[in-house]
Amino acid sequence: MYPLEVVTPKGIIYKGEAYQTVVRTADGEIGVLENHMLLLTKVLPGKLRIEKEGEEPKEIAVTYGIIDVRGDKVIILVEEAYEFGEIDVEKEKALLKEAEEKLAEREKLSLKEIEEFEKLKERAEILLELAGVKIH
Amino acid sequence: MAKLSPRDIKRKIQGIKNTQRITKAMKAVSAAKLNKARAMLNATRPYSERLYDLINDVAAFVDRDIHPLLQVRDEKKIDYIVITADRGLAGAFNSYVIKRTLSDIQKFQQEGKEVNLILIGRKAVQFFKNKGYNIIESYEDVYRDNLNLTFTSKVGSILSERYENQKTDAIYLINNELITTATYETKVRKLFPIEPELDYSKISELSRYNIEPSADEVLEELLIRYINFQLYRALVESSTAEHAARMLAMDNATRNAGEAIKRWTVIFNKARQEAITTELIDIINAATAIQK
Repeated sequence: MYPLEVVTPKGIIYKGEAYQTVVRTADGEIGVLENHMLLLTKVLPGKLRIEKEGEEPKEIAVTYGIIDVRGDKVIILVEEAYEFGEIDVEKEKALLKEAEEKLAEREKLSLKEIEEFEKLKERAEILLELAGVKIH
Repeated sequence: MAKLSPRDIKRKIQGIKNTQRITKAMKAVSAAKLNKARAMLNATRPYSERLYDLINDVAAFVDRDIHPLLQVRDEKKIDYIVITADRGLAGAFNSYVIKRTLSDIQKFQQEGKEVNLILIGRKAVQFFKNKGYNIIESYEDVYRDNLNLTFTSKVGSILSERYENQKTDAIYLINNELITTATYETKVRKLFPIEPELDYSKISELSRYNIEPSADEVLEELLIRYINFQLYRALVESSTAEHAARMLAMDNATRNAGEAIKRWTVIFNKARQEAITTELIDIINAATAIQK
């Protein structure tokens, strides 16, 4: 067990002990156990799973951020975090639609814009999936 | 004034009382919203502290001349992000921001700099549109559905694209901030270029870290989060100050209405007294006439 903090601009979402934390990063899904190597990497939109001994794991949806695996604790900074039931389905559907419409005319966009809209599309698809909404 | 009948005066007093009821209700609503906004502002602290620490740590690893988001250039082109409220009835809240923006634009232009505007809030959009200013983006109704990072990350990606591709050399942020419950101030902050307070003392500790995929990319990620967060924080600051300003404006309006009611009640009593006196004189005159 090690101390874990999940923090967003809206406040501290989780502060407590964790046995294992599973999060989607730039390197794919990783599980952080006690005595994990020191690590600093990007967090990508997806499911964040906090496992504790003798308790049901806690699962929430997060968007972009950073995970800082230190010697004494683990800090996860993410821009947005939601319980699956809290995800604003209408908003995510609108974001998905916007991204798809822009990407349909990708010849009009700069490389950086294409990258941004691909990210937006991915984020909306993942959040909708976690909210239990079928897309298309 | 003197020509008003007691009935007219009574109607007028009723009118002022109705207005007072509205301003009182608006004050109560603003007070509740102010509390909520303040809580939102306090809640940002843990995130900002950790984010700034990380940026300062990681920036020490990166050559700042190479990183496009850390490059410092001559300020020839300036982006100005103007944050006002969507609504009025908050005293001079919006006009303070607009006035300061106008004088800053004038100053920059005199120095031969090009100024582009990014407008957030209906009052700013209404003021600056169709007046020949270069407007990059305008946004309204961003406070309506619960402020969050989805909106600011959209604006943030536009800003970082502009900075990286040298469409702008410096980005400023102007908004109101609450100082005490009764006072707010218009503040201008430089958002770009970012000047991290490099913390070299942690380099040895950090060199034991695995920074994936690279320090450059993690720093870029942190800087993007930083821009999105600064915008979010500025919006929360502005909305906190807005509710305080409106609460104050409505408190003043309620008090003024109270004084007006007092004044008109005195006038009403005088008018009523006059009417009674006139009637009494008539009756007495009539009675005297009959006695004779």
